[in-house]
Order: sequence, then structure tokens, then C-alpha cells
Amino acid sequence: MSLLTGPILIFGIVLLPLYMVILAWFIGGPSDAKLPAIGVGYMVGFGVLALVGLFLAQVLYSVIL
Amino acid sequence: MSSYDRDTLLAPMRSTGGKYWGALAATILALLVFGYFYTQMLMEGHYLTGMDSQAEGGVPWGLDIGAFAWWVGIAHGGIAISAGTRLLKKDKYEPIARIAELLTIVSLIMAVTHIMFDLGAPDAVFQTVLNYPLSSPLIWDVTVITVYFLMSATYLVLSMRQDIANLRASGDLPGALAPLYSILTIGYSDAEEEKMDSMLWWMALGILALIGLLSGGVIPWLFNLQASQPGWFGAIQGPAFITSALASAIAAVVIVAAIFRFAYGWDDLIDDDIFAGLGVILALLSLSYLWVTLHEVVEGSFYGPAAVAEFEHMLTAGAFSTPYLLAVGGLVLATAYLCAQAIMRKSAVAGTVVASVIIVVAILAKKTVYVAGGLAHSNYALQPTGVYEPTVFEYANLLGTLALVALIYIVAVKVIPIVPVTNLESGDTAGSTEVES
Repeated sequence: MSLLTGPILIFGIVLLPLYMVILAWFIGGPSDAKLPAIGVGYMVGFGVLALVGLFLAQVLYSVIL
Repeated sequence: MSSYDRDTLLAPMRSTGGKYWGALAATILALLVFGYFYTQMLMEGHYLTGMDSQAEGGVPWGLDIGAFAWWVGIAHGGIAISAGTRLLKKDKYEPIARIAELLTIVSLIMAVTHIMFDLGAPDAVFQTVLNYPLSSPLIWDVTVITVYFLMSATYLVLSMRQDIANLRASGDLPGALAPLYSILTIGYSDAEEEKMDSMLWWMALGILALIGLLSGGVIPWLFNLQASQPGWFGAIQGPAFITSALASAIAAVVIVAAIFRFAYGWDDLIDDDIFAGLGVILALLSLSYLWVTLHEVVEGSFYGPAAVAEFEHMLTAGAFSTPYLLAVGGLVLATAYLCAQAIMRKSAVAGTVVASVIIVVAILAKKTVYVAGGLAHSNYALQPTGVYEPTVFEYANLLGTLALVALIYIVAVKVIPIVPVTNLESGDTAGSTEVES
């Protein structure tokens, strides 16, 4: 198995539904770019929140123990 | 669809009775028990869980990884119900759609929490993400589960916008949480309904597709790509994971819906018809899972490779036979009951709930046996055949995630409208606008 098998499987195939949704939001009707942008903004926001949460758990752990 | 008055729909937000306080007290007690054992594990070390003794015949993965796969499976129920309501216009399930969506999000958080438990120190998850080992199926899981979480959370927030905006305008939401509601309704306008329906329709479709790819692909790959574990290896794991995930998911939705019905006297809102429908779906899914389980057993019992045959013997007559046979027996009984209900077109809510509890517990037990059993009987020449018994620390972890789910619901009912008030009040259905595709 090459090192690329995983990324191809995950980013090339498994995540196709995500790409489809974002594409459909922007090019599908009714025409409106603001709401899709808000939707993408929420997704990015939740992602940042999850990362910050994990980072804070690490900091908290290293401070306490 | 019937319409309901606002007092009934906002009862969880407005009333705080004895049941609420009782649930909160029980949840805090459970969290204290979990906190006691988890703190001990953090202070003393991960060896307390017994997950570090592989060389002595132990196993490095057990209840925590079984619970991880179990929570991911349960996570499918909420969004499947909600997306099905939207895509198939099954509006009778609308009263439980949001309750179920929340189950998806909290279940995914609990799944990752069990990975954290299994890795030992809380910082290990962040370090794994930072290092991002591309060739590891575990990081594939983390990636897709994260995307699934982002899509589900976004779906929930977008589907609540209209409700929150309307309830804010009528002064029905707590003023202290105004900043949160402002974030949830950022850029909201009354004219967005048609576009939002279209976006939610596409999101529902995307999430349903991702469910198949996640539980029918990425999660089983964590196990079935490893030829060194004969019990895990093989393509049957794809169908086994997706059917068990969906069965446990619908069963969990039945349980949560029943709790809400009992807690708020919502016999009319979450009516018998909803449980009857879910019971039929659950019967079909459990039956499918039992069929795949039969494949797993037959594979090893009919002149299969020696290692596979030995693994199957271990499950059906060896060291893991008691939990395995109890789990399969429970599944058979619960499925038979649900099928009988479906055939006779008679349904009892209590019976459906009991069958759901049995299915949820049985699938957790079976997943844990599958995970630990696969490792206990490895093809590694240097690794002895192992034994496994969950420690009190692992049980405490499970108690902790169950209590956290309860706590999130207990808080959520005071923060968000837990049922779609606008649609249920007017009798409209979700996604009533046709989608231009």
C-alpha cells in the first residue's frame, strides 16, 4: 500500500458528499451566495472550536499533571 | 400534520419539575463516579485499565474501542431520522427530528472521547491530529468523523435558524443567552426560507451518503484491513458495521424519544405511531444485522482457514462465548418481538422500548467482544492467545460518556427549542419547499 492510498481514499472518494453539498449550495437554486457562505462559515467555526478544545485539553492536562 | 400549542412545545424550556432535578442529580452522581476513576487513571497511569499487557496475553483495545464504534453507530440514528424526514417527506417523525439530531452530535463527541480514553492522556488526541499519520486507518477515521460532525452540527444549526429567530422575536427565549442566539441567527432574514430548504435538502443527502461511506467503509477499515487479526479481516465487516450501526442508532432514537415522552407527558406529540414506525425500521435493520452475523459464524465453521475457525470457536464455545451468545441471543429475541409486532400490525410502546434497550446493549457487547476477541486471537507468532475482562476503569469511562450525553440534553432543553416549534405550531412539514436540483 502506498502512502497515498489513504489520502486518495479519504479525500478523493469518501469526502465526495461534502464537496457535493458545498458545490450544490453555491451553484444550486435559488441563486444566493450569502447563505451558503454562512453555512460554510459555521462548518469552519465548528472545526476551529473542536481544535481549540483539543488544544485546551492538552494545556489543561500539562498544567494539572 | 397536526398542530400543537406553543406551551406544550416549549415545556422543556419553561418548566423545571421533579423529573428534571432527579435526572440532573443522577447525572452529576454518575459524573462524580466517573471523575473519581478517571482521575485515578490520570494520576497513576494508563496501566490501571489493563490495556498495556499484550505481551502477557492481554489485549490493547477493549471496551473503550468497542464503545467508540458503538457511539459512532448511534450517531447515525439522529441524522438518518432527520434527513429521512426531509428527503422522504416522512413528516410524522418531525416531532423527534431535532431530539435525534442532537443525539448525532453528542454521540460523535462521545466516540472521540473514548478514543481519548483509550490513548491514555488527553493530549494524545491533539498530538495525533498534529502529526497526522496518513497511512493510519485511525487518522482516516478521525478525519471522516470530524467532517461528519461538522456537517451534522451545521445541519442542526441551519435547521434551527427560523425557529430561533421567531422565538426571539416573540420573547420566548432566555434573554441571558442573547449573544448565542445572535450567532445562531447571523444574517437571518424572513426571505431565506426557500434557499435554506434547498441547502438543508442537499446537506441531508450528503450526510446520508457519508453515513454509508463512514460506517460501511472507513470504520470497518480500521479493523478489516489488518490481516494479522483473523477475526477482523474480511470484506463482510463493511455490511456488518453499517447494519449494526443503523440498528443501534434507531434503537437509541427510540429510547431517547421515549424518555422525552415520559418526561414531558408528550403522549400526543411523540405518539404511538412514531414508535410503531421506528419499531418496523428497527426490526428490518436488526434482521439484516443477524443475517450478517450468521455469515461471520458460518465463515469460520465451514472448513475456513484454521485461524478463522479458531476465532469463531472462541466466540461460540470458547473464552468469549458467554457475552457473545448472550448478545446474539438478546438480538434474536428483540428482533423476533419487533418482527411479530410488525406482522401483527400491533405495537406496544413499552415493548418497543425494551427491545431497543436490549438491541443497544447487545450491539455494544458484541462490538466489544469483536474488538477484544480479534486481538486476543492474533496471527502474531510472538503474541500469546489473550484473555480480556473489562476493568472498572473502562466501565467508569462508559458511565462517564453516558452521563455526559444526559448532561448535554439536560442543558440543551433549556437553551434551544428541542422540537421544531414553528413547523409543529403551524402544522407545516420540514422541507416543504420543492428543491431545484
